[in-house]
Amino acid sequence: MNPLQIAASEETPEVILDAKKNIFKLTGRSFVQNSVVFYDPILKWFSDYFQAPNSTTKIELKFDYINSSSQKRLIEIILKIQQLTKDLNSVNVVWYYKSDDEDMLEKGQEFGEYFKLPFKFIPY
Amino acid sequence: MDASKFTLTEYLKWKEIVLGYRGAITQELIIIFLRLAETKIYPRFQSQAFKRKIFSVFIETLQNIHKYATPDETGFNNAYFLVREIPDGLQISTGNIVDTNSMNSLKLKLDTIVTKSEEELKAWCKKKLFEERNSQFDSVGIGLLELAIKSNNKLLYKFRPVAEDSFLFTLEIDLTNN
Repeated sequence: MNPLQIAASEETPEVILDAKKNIFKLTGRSFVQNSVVFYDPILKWFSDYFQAPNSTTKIELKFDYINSSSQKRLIEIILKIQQLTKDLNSVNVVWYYKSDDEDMLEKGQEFGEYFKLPFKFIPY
Repeated sequence: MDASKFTLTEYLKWKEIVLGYRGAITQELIIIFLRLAETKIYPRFQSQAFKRKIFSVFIETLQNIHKYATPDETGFNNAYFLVREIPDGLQISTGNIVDTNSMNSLKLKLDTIVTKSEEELKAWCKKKLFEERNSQFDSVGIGLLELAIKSNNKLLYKFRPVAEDSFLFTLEIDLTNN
C-alpha cells in the first residue's frame, strides 16, 4: 500500500501514513478552512489500510493547535478506524501535548473518553 | 485628517490599538494576522498559555467571519478586526454583516452561551463535538463556545440593522492574562 505523505503548512499538519514502516503520524497545526478537503484523503487511506492492517497500529497525534472544524474531521477518522478494527487493542492512539498546554491535554482526554481505543498521553 | 479635531481621548484610544483591519477576511489574511501576532502581540506577554489563547481566538473569530458573513455587492465579506490593549490583556473586536437567518441563529446561540458557567460551556462544547454530525453549522457553534470558554465568557455582542435583511454583527472578546 502506498504511503500518504503531506508536508506541513502554516494551516495544516504534516501527515505520514506508511504501513510498511508502521508510521501513522499527524504533527503540527490544523486550522485549514476546508477541513473536509484536507482530511478526506486521510480518511480514505485509513479505510483502505484497515482492510489488511498491521498486527499493531500506533496512531500518533501531535497537534500544537487544532480548530473546531479539524477536530470534527479527526473524530470522523478515529470513529472510522474504530469501526474497521476487529481487535480494539491492536490500535492505540498516542496524543502528544506540550507539557504546559493543559487545554490540549484536556482535549486529548475528551477524545480518549469518547473512543473505545486505548489512548496514551505524552507531554513533550 | 484635521489634527485639531483629533482629541486626546481619541489619541489615547488609538494608542491602545495593536492591530486593525477593515475589508474582506480570507484564509490567507488569517495566516498573515497570525504572523503579525507572533511579531507584534506575543512579545507583550510572557505566558505561553495566553499566547495560545490569543492564537485560538484569532482563528475562531476570523474563520467564523470568513465562513458565515454575508458577502457585499462585490461578493466578499466586508468586516473589521480590531485588537486593543486592555489592562493585563487584549480586547478583540470583530464586525461583519449577517442576514436575518444568521442573526436569529447567532443571537439564539449567544444569548444562551452567556448564561452558562465554564463547566456547562465545556460540557456543551463536548456534546456538540462528539454527538452532532453532518450539521452545516456545527463548527460555528463550537467556535462560539470555544470563544466563550477562552474568554471566561467575556463576550459582548450586538446586532444593528443596516438595511433590509442585513445586520451589523459586532463581537467584543476580552482576553485577560490570568
